[in-house]
Amino acid sequence: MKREVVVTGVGIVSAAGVSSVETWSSLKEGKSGLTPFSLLSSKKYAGVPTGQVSADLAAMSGLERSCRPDQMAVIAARQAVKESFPEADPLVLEKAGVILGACVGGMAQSELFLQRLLLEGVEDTDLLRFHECASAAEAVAENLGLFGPCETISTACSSGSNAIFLAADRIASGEIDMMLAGGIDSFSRLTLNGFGSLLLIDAEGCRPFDEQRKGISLGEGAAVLVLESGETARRRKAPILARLSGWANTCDAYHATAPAPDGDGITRAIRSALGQSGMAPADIDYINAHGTATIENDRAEASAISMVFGGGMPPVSSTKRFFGHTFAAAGAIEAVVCVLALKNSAIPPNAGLNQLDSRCPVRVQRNFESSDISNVMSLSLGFGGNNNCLILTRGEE
Amino acid sequence: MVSRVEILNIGVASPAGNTLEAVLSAMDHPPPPAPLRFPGRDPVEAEGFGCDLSQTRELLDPAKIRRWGRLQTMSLLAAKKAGLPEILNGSRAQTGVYVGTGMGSLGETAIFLENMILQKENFPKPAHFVNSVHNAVASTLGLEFGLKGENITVAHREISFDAALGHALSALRQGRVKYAVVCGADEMNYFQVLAGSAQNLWKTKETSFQPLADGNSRGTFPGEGSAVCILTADENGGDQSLGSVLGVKCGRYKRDTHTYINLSHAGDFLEELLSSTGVQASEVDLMLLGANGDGRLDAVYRAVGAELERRSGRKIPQAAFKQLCGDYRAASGFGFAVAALCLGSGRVPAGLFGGAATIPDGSVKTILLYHLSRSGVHSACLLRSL
Repeated sequence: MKREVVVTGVGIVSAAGVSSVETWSSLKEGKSGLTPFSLLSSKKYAGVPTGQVSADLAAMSGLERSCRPDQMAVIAARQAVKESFPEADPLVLEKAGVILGACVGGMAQSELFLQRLLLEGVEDTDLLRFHECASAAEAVAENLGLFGPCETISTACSSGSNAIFLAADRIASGEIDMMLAGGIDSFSRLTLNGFGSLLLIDAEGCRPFDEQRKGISLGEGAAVLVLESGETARRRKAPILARLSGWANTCDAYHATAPAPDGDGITRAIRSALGQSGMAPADIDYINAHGTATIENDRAEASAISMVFGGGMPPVSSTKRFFGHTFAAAGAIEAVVCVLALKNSAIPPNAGLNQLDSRCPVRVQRNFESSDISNVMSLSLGFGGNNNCLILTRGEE
Repeated sequence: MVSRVEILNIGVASPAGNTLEAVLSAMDHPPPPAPLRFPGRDPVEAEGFGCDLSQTRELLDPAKIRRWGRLQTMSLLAAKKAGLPEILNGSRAQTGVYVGTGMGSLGETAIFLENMILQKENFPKPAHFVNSVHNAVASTLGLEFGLKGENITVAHREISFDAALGHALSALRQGRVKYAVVCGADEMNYFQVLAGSAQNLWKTKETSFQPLADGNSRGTFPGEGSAVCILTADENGGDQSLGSVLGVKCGRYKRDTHTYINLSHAGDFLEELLSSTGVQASEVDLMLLGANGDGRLDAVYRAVGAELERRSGRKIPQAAFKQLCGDYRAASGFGFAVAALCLGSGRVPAGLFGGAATIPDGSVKTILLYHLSRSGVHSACLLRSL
């Protein structure tokens, strides 16, 4: 018998805000967080629209000698824990664990190491301290005193949602009562030049599902959710913001980067998550799409949504224009958006859309709209045909 | 819900050889570290344990090998050696892939970055970017063998493999997948060996290498490899299984000023795993440890082993395996293969004990693997013969 998994706190650091209140306000006002890129020295990508976090992360986190991903992860985790434990000291956290998605860790510093080595012959190995993706999850665990499982999931752009899926699985199976789960990633020249080399960056900013879209806008950020069993959450009278009702992961086994054009893997993930939740497609009131704004992603995802939901399709929006594509953080940020949508009874808009691509048969939500939604779905896709589907249900007042 | 998970087969690409027979033979007589030379503008020389991948062209498509990074090639080779795809018996759509890799595709990342820096962001190499993602191995396994179930990659230092194994066990026990392909892989690379040299991580003057045996030695030897095991829930198993995986556990340890790791906390951690699987500490026949030959780290492993021994009330022999493969993040995957081979063959070769410890009397039925990272995380895995 699987246990109920609930969300009792969320934290977010993004270009659209460094708290859930700020982020929701940006979504409501339709205010994109994209600004001209200036964070790292890059001849080629300076000025390109990106989702950079402008806050003083070192000061906010108190981790002055750390790297941006670790700082963002700790800030988001603290926010989430504060919401989950509004009154008491979170002493129960010692038994809790943390699973974060991360793609590149402190790669920006590793690049400096390599640059100094190659151009100056200097071996400054101190710059490699944060190279491994594991650094952020360990920073969170250390900062909050968690001694349960501490792991990092790295499945490219679906990492954050897979971290949530795997944390939920641990709670549902009875292995543990509470996990902090989410995702984190910051800018590096590797990702800028990497996606640039694949001709996937839109110089005008991303326009998910738009006929004229040309690709993604890169971003950075972190989002963390406190997940716990419904039983323990109610026992300690924690705020139940949402329930995690279903989750699934599948692999396309189709191509190293491109999704299967017919959306087969995404379709299987959606159906599996629906099956697990005991819901029918008609029960879903809103879908937060991965919606990167690449030609292939949006078409494949739209095909899958259309295949499962058909004529009864709920409103769909991609919120990438607000945050940029934050890689491993994307799925976690969007899960937080879903929690906020349920909490605030409203559907966030698909910013950046002018003319819907006729080959994307989805019912795009163009404007922010109040709506009495009960169940929402978040989709995430990653390189290697990695697909994730999460279903969240309205919490308790 | 099933509780027992069986090991159907294992394949390796390892410095000790790319067949189970070769690894078994090396367990009796571990080979010494070999000279390594990494070409580059300033070539790096070190001693360590590298894989011989010259055989890959016989088993894998040469055109594909040219497109893959070293980590992918090693892992595809190991998967072939494990019997993929034949062993899956028409169940590829219900097969999940779970990979643990601490550092991911270092070589591909380095090529992309080196080119980016030296060419000032001109003439990028997209294929190396695609291969640089940590889940390149997992997605390539999925793609090459048509495995459409879950596809998960854990990148968390020395516990990467065990954490991936834990997710595989959960998926099998809950029936989300019928088979699980679990892989632990990391590669050696010019920059990693260079950085390790600058940080004095490597042994430089020793030719023999026996973790747990020498308390005064400092450093370790770099290594690499990929181990792939195919698991299934017991009802799909058979007489040919190498053994069963009873459980796995990952967590953070508490530190101690004197003993480095809080031994009481570490002992509780191991006992929690044992009790969750219904096994008593006194039933553990062997501890196979991630000791790497650095006297200070080995002492921590010995102390944790002694703590469990104290609690069990009986002698538990301690053995090591990194003399066969060198030290790398996902080496616990190779350790898992070594333990499964011991269970499958019914013997524990003397080479695992370094000559200093006692070889257990009688047969070894239950093996507890334990690994820790200096970063503060540790993991344990319990295997039993059928």
